[in-house]
Amino acid sequence: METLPVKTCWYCRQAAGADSLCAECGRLQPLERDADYFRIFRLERKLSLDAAALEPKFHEFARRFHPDHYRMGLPRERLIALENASRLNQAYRTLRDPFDRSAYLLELEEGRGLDGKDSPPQELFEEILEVQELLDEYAAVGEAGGTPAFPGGVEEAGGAALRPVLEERRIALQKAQDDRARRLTGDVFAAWDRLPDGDPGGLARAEVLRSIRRILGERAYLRRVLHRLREALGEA
Amino acid sequence: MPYSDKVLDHYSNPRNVGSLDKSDPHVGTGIVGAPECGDVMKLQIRVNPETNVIEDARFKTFGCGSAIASSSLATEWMKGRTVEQAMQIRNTDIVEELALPPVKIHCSVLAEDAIKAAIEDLRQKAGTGTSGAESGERQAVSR
Ligand code: FES
Repeated sequence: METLPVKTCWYCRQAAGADSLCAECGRLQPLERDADYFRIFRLERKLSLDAAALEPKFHEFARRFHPDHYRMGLPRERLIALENASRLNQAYRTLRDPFDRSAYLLELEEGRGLDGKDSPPQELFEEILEVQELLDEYAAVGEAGGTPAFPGGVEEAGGAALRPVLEERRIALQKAQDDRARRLTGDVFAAWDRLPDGDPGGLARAEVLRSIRRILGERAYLRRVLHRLREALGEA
Repeated sequence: MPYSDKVLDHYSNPRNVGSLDKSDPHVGTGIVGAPECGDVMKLQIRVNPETNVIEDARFKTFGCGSAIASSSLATEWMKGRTVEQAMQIRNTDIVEELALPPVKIHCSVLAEDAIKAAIEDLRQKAGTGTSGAESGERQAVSR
């Protein structure tokens, strides 16, 4: 996409250099039009990224793009500052979170983020539907205030007996969620970062991306069901 | 949230909630999810093997009001139709009937996916099960 001579300053038409300010006239330059978030931060497309190291970089750039500096500037310069700042914010928000960062990588690499088209985790689905049933029963007890029958569910028990069952589920699902997070940010991140560059169609690459997709998908379901459980147990 | 009357009706009075016997050779089960929101839906149909008509349809949804309404409506529509007719149900039909807003379209997509998954399950059973082995083979060849 190098159709425009990006490195030419929009103001003085001289070579602007690689910095965000023109080397010749010092005017603020727009961020590369097609630069992805990693590039905006001048980072390689790697996943193991130290969020703590990202922050000072963000502040440095944010200061440079701050619209206040350009209040006296040209209208075009003010616009550039604004646009740069908003893209920078977006990039920072996405990159600093390991899950958002991974989802973003999927978009970059495969042109689509998370959607329903991936092999669905059937076992997890069944577990979630089970929890839904327990939650329905629990809610029914709450409304009736009595001891309704639990068809196929927890013996003949009231809400008091159902509560520990739900709590147990919550703990188990939370553990599953934590395991996924650990696997993603551990082994999977490392595997991605180890891949040699310049092998876009490689098998190993596809494999890693598939793992990311699977874990992020499962995480979305786990997050939702955990939220419901916490809500029902009054812990939310 | 501005739910339409029809959504509220299906939501507060869902039709065909429940389960069918998964191991029944004439029952198709589809369990699908939407990673965008983390909701899950199970839809089951029981088909008359002679007529190919869907005699019963059941659902269970772990999801929002629109997803519950979509699956409730889908089961209502499927009952009495043939499998081929049910296959024609589109999420846009559901969106229209329930007047779902744009942010709730994925909830209807979930219902359409569930219908397709249930039918697919049924076809696979027919292909591998003892009773439907013949038709299954024919299907495989014609593909
Ligand atoms: S919000 Fe997820 S199915 Fe409706």
